[in-house]
Amino acid sequence: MSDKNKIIQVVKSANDLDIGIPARIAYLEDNSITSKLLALGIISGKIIEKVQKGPFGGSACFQIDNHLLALRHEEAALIKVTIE
Amino acid sequence: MTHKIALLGNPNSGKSSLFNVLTGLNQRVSNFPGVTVEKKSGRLKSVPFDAEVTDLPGTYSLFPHSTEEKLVVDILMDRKNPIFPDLVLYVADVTQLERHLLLATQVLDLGFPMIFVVNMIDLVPSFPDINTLEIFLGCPVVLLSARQPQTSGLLLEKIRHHFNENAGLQSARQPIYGIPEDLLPLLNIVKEEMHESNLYRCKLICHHTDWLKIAGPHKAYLKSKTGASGFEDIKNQVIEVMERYRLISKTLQNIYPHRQVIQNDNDSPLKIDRILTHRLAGPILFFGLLLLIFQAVYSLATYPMDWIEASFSALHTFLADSLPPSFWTSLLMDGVVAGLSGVLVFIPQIAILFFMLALLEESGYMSRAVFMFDRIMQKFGMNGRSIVSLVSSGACAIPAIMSTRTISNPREKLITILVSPLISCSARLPVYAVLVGFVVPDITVLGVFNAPGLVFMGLYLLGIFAAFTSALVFKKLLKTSDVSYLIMELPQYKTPIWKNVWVAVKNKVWSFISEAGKVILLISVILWFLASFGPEEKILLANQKAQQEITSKNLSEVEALNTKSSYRLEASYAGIMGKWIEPAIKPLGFDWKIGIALITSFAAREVFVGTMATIYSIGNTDDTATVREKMKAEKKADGISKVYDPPTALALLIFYVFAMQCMSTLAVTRKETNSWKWPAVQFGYMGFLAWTGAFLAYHLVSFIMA
Repeated sequence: MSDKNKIIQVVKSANDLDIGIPARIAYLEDNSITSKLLALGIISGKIIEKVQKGPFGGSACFQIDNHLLALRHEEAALIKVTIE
Repeated sequence: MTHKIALLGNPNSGKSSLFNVLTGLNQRVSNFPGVTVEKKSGRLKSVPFDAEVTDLPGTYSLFPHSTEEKLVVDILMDRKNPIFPDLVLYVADVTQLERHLLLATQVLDLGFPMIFVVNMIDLVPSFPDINTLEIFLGCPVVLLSARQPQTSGLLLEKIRHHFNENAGLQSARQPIYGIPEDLLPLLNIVKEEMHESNLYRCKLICHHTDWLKIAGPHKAYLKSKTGASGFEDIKNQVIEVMERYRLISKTLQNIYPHRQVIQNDNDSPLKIDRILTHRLAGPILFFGLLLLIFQAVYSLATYPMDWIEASFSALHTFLADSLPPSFWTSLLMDGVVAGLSGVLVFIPQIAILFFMLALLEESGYMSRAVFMFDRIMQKFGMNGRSIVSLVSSGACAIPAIMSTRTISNPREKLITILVSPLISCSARLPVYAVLVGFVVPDITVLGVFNAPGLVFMGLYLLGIFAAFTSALVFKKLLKTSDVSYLIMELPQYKTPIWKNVWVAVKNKVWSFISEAGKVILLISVILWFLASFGPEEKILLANQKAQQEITSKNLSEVEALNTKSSYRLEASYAGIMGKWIEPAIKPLGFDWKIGIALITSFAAREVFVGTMATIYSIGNTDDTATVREKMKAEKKADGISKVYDPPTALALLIFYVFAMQCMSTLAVTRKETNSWKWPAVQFGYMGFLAWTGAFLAYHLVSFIMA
């Protein structure tokens, strides 16, 4: 990406993503479950996309690499992403 | 000497399918010591030596977040553990190689000899370069597909080779993860204290000092040392995992660049999920599916159940005809055979439910259901999976409670087990059917509704309401230190492997027979004893009374027999107990005859009808209409007012909605919680609900009618 096209990157949590808009994972907040998120492939630099919200709210389904993950708001809040 | 092989891998790696391929049907299911985590082990097929394969629970990393994962770390860290493996078969999904390599590199660094199995190669057009992967890992790599058992030949060859020739070869391997230098002083202290030469093992000890099996003095010393050195658990976990991923992805870029191809091909399952987990359509489809499962368990199971009951009653008749009447004949017929029948009769329901559940799990749909219902069930302290158990309870609480095995959070599992039996099961139906007519007449209300039908529905709704309310109470009462979270893979949809489905059903049925069966048989024999025997003089008196009635009324042979058993039951220990508990149940409008039925129907609720038949000297227990007629005619001591007036009948109905009147459920609760504490709690709180509910119903209805 050239400097000219570079948009200012806003860091927000994966919770705030709109459905179908891919974002790049910037970092994970440290928490007791961080290593679990990492072990499931949520690693900085990867592309994450919210695919579907849970039927009764409170959770959402994300696509990362080639697999789907269900996360609650609390867990998704630990994932900080940037939209390019 | 028996070799010990452990199967290890992430959840959804096809580990269990490979286990079924390697061991065939020659496998045993038990619990790991001290926890209710299922342990499957079996003898390795087609090798010329003894090797015991254990299927370890699916694990993401050696930084555990669940009971199952902790168990795996416990086993791998404890050289004295009886299943500490000589060889690890690590199973990885070829489409998720990057993630699945993470745990593999950790286990290799613990120093285990390993064969790395790349599974599901039937799903991809190209394979990773084995040679480079073998160099990176320092262990043999095998490609196969557990769906196609014929592809496992090379794996068997490598296992044979490992044990025959180069067992020591892997031990010289260099660690994959280079431990950061700033940790070395601390790790060297651990190394000396624990006499542990493997530095990575020392690092894990630092991470998990709190819960690993370490002798007390060592533990205190290690804790003070990790504390003093400022060891940061989470930060070091993250550093390690990130570094491992860096090494893995660097290697994969070189050896498996084509893996990008898989990703582009992945849009169609996403389309399916857009519908199946849709905010509106998803839950509707799911309840449709649950209705189907419920129907199957409820109606399909009646055929084999009737068949089992008919066979046992034929056996009963045969024994009665061919054996001389004696203590032993009676014990065999009414204690043991009846108990066996009480065990076997549940098998059709268990088999059908677990067949359906295995299809849901195998296809990948179950995790979608968990995702959809996570939020709503969380409010009640339960798990998305609990909804399946609760619906199954409508057929029978026994398979329902057994299905809580897959709930990994202990508190959510416990709450689901405790409240499931409040949902009205099929065994309550005969009781409801006999009693409902005493509460309301068979009339039509508001033009369309049948009054007994409305009461029926009310009883079911009451059960559901009580289950969710109790769950809320238990959520408040049961404190937990576990962090509740939902981080769950939604695996790709797959056609179920029939062998896995069959093995799952077989294992569930067998574990029910072997574990809960014993308890059910024992209680059944105790209940037989209570109902058949009494103090000698009382029995003699009962026989005399019966004889008097028979001669005075000039009764037929059948009637005489029925009259005798009625008097004998009254004089039996069960009869005495029925009278003994009368003061406790009198406030509910119950007499001692109902008391007897409450005691005997602890075997199973439907026994209530049979006991009523015996008490009222009706031989044929299938004749519900006659039982009802007799009960209708039954008068209180004053000779005018009826025993089964609406207040008493409703109180009795409410009692049966709530009361834990089922020894088999208690036996299964014991099996699944691995303690007598929880069945006791269940019995106690449901009994409290039953008594209070019946008391309120009796006095409220009496008040309204007065």
